[in-house]
Amino acid sequence: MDSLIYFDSGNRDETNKDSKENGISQRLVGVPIGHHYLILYSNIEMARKVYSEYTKAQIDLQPQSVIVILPYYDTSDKVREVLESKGVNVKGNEKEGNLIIVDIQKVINNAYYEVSEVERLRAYTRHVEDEHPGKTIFVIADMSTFNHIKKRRELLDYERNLHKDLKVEKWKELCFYHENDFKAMFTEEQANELLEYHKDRVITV
Amino acid sequence: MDRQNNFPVFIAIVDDEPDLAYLFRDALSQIPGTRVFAFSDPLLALEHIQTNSGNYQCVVSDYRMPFITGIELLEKVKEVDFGIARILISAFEIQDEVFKNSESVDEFLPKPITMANLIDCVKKHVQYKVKEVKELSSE
Repeated sequence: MDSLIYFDSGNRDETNKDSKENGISQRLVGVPIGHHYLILYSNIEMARKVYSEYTKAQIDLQPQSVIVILPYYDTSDKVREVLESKGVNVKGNEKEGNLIIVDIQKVINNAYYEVSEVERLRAYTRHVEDEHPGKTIFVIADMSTFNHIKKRRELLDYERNLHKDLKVEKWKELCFYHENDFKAMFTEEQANELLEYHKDRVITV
Repeated sequence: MDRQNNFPVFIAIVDDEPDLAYLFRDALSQIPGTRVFAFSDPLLALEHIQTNSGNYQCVVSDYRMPFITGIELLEKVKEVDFGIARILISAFEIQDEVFKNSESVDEFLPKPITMANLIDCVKKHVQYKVKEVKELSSE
């Protein structure tokens, strides 16, 4: 019995991949508070490497901050497993309130926040900030979900205006997008506008 | 095309995690009379199903995948041939509203899935073919 596999493995340069990822996580750690980055990932493995390396580096640098991870393609348990594999003390940090892992769908479907799905992300982050006064909040959100719930217009507005809130709030946000969702979600014109708007704050992995 | 005359029957497993797709493919390959195709890209899967619709009898798809969801994929599969069994798998809780307007899913299997459960479920949908293959091989 034979089987055939069709896998889009792509044709990417694997040279110095680890050092490149370490470089990315260090760059993200160095992003000042009040900034917002777009991370476009080609596959879930790349996303895992970046968010786990970054989380580890951020916790090591600022152990008293709060890291909020809102995954979409990974379950919360998978995120925990990935972080643990990088040496992050997940249980301890979650217990201390320094690490929060919630499926992004649970946040944007939370009707407690009487605002649009996209705005619920911001409302949730403010809630975390209120719960942890004085602490810096780092948000890692997989925005690919908005492709599936068809809230593209609202998301576009969110991406265009997020920096205004970040400047007054005490957090920074990394918005992850799977490349295929990003392409599907926005027209070429919108995508170019977003990329131009974020300029050097776009990282493709 | 009359699918009953096409052997082996085709089964597609679609999961954006290649390791899981491989794992499921290997498990399902144990079903006699079948040929199992694994895809990590739902659009490639759909293209293959459209091209070979006469052979396909079952599609197993993950729910959360880049570009289109598993439900969207299964809706398109149904449009290609409503006779193809459509099984959705997911590690996430799926709200009732998601299913409410969709008649494209024949069966839902929550992850983690044991290989035995997956095989039983798919077998149930390709049972007719399996029986026919056994009869042919005993002749």
